[in-house]
Amino acid sequence: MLTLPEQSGRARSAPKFRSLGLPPVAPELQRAVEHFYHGEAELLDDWEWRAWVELFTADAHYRMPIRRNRLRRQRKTDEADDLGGLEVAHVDDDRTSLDMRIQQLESGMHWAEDPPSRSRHLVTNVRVKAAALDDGTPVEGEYHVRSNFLVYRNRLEAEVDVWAGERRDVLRADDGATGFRIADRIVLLDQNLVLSKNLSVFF
Amino acid sequence: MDINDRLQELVDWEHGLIGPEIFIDDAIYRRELEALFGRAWLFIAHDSMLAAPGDFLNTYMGGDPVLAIRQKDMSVRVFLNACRHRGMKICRAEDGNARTFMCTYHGWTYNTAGELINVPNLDTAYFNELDQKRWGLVEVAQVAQYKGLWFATFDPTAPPLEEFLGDMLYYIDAWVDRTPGGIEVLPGVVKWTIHGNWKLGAEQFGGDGYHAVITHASSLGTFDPSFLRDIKGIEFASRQGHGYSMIFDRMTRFADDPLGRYNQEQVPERLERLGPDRANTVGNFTVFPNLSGLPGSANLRMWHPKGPNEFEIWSWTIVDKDAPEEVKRAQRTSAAFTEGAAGVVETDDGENWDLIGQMLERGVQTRKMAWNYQMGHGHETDHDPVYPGRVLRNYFGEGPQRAFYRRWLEFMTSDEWPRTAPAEPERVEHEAGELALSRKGALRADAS
Repeated sequence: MLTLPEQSGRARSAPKFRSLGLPPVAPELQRAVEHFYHGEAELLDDWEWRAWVELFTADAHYRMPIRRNRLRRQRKTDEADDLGGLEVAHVDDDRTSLDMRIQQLESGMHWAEDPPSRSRHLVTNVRVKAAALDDGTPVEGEYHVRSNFLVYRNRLEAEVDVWAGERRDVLRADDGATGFRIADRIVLLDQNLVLSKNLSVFF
Repeated sequence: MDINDRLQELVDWEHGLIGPEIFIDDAIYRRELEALFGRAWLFIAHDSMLAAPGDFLNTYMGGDPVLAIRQKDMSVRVFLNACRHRGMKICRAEDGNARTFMCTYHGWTYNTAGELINVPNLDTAYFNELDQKRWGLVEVAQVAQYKGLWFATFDPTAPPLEEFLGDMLYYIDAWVDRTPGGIEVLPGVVKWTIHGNWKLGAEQFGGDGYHAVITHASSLGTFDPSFLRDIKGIEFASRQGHGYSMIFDRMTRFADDPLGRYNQEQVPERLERLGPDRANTVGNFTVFPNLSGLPGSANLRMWHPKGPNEFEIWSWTIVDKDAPEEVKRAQRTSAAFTEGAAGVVETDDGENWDLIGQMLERGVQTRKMAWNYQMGHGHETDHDPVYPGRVLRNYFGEGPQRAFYRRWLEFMTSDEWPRTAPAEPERVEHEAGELALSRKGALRADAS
C-alpha cells in the first residue's frame, strides 16, 4: 500500500529576490550554477529521469503552483504563495512522490510518455544569490537561484507544446560529481489555463 | 437529412452503437450549445467558493461566460458575463470579491445584483435618455442549490433541480453529506485543455471503470497493484443521464498520512450517516451533462466545451470542512499528485482523449466507424434491492454511457424540455446502524 509522506521536513523554499542591484556573484560560481543547469537539462532531454531525480536532496520539495487571474487588489504579491499549502497546485511533490513519478516513467506503461516526448529544455537568465537567514547570516554552500526556462515538447506525429516560465531553486553545494543538488524548486509556469493535454514532462 | 434523423441514426444507445460524428461535427456541436447547454441544469459552484456577499466566480455555462455572485441575502445569482453595450466581459478576474463590475471598454458599471448603476457621460453622450433600469445584466432563468452545490439553467421551463438530479442524489449524498460539517472546496482551480470532445471526459467519468486497468496501469496499477485487482463494485446508470462507477470497501486510492488516518477515524461517523452501502466506497461519477468527480480522490470537475474538438477541464479539490488543516493540506498534496494536468493518473487520460480528437479532426472513414458501447448490456436491473437507478452488479460495464447518450439524444432532438417519466417510488432506506453493526467486520478504511 502506497503511503505519501507527511509534509514535515519541508525544505526552505527560495524567496523571490530582485537581482537588479545585487552584486554579481563570483564568475566561477555563476559558471558552476549554469553548468549544473545545462547538465540537468541534458538529463531531462536524454530521458535520463532516474539520474535527474537523484539531483534532488532527500528533503527536496518540488512545487508548481497554479497561476491566477485576479483583481488588482486581490492579487497575490508573490505568485508562488500557496496560501499556507491550501491552494490547489499542479505539482506538490517531495522526494518520495518524485521518485514515484520516475517509477511510473520506468513502468513501460505510462502511455503519456511512452513513447517519450521529445523535449528541449532551454534555461536562461540565471540569477544567483547566496542564501542567508532572515537575520542576514549566510547559509554556507546554499544558493537561491532564479532562472527562466523555455521547454519545447514534440510528441508522436504532430503534437507541439511550448512552455515558458521561471524556476526558483534552492541549490546546495555538493561534493559529488554534479556540484550541486536541488533542495527546493518552485516552477512558475506562465499559463493560467494550461494549454496542453497534460504536463507529463518535468520542468 | 434532417439533423434529428441524423442524430437518431448516430446514437443507437439501445444497441450500444454510437457514431463518432457526435464528437466532431460542427452543426451537432452548435445544436448542443443551444439544446443541451441552453436547457440543462449546469453546475456553477459550491457554497464555499462564494463564501461572503460580493464573492464572485467566473465560469461557463456551455459556451457562454457567466458570473456567479453571492448576494447580501446569501442567495447566488448568475449573470451572463457580457456588457449590455458591446458584449465585452465586465469581469476578467476568475474569482474574487467586488461591489461593482466596470466594463473596461466604455465603463458601463454594474452592481452585484446585475443592475446598471453607472454609464459614463450619461448627460453629454446620451442626453440623459438612457433608461438604465432596462439595461441590467442578462440573468439565467433559474438558480438552485442542493446541499451547497449550486446549479443554474438558461431555461425557464426546466423542472426543479432535484427532479433533474433524480436518483443521483443518493450517490451525491455519499460525498457531500458524509460529515456534519459537509464539504468545502480548496482555493483555486487546476485548468487545462484537451483537444477532443467534452463528452469523452463526461462519459468516461460516468461509467468507464474498464479503462483504469490499462490506461492507469503505470499509476493506479503500479503504486498499489491491489487497487485494480478483483475490483468489487457496481455501476449506476440514471434515467436522467447521470452515472457512477462505485468501488466497494475503499475510501481513498492511497493511504495518505495524515489523510489516511483521518479517513480511518471518520469511518464510524460515515457509517452512521450513510449506511454501509455508500460509506466505504470510492469511484467516479458524472452528473449529466458535464459535472464529474472522484469521491475517493476528493476531486470535482467540469468539462467545459470549447468547440466540437476542444474542452477544458476545471478541477477542484474537496475536503471535509471540519477536517484539521493538516488533513486539508495532505488532501491538496495527494490531489496534486494524482489529478490535474500533471497528475500521475490524469496525464494518461489526456493522451487518449487528445489523440482521438486529432483522428476525428482529420479523418473521414474514422468518423463513419461506429463505436461499441455494448459492455454489460442486458445484465442490468432497474430493481436492485439496495441501489437506486439502473444497476449493474459489476464494476465493468457501459450502462452509464448508454444512459448518458440516451439522455443526450433526448435533449438534442426534443422541442420541449425533455422530461422523463416520474421517478420511481422512494426506496426504503436501510437501518444504517443495524446494517453497519452486522457488516462492521468487513469494513476497512482502505485496501491493505
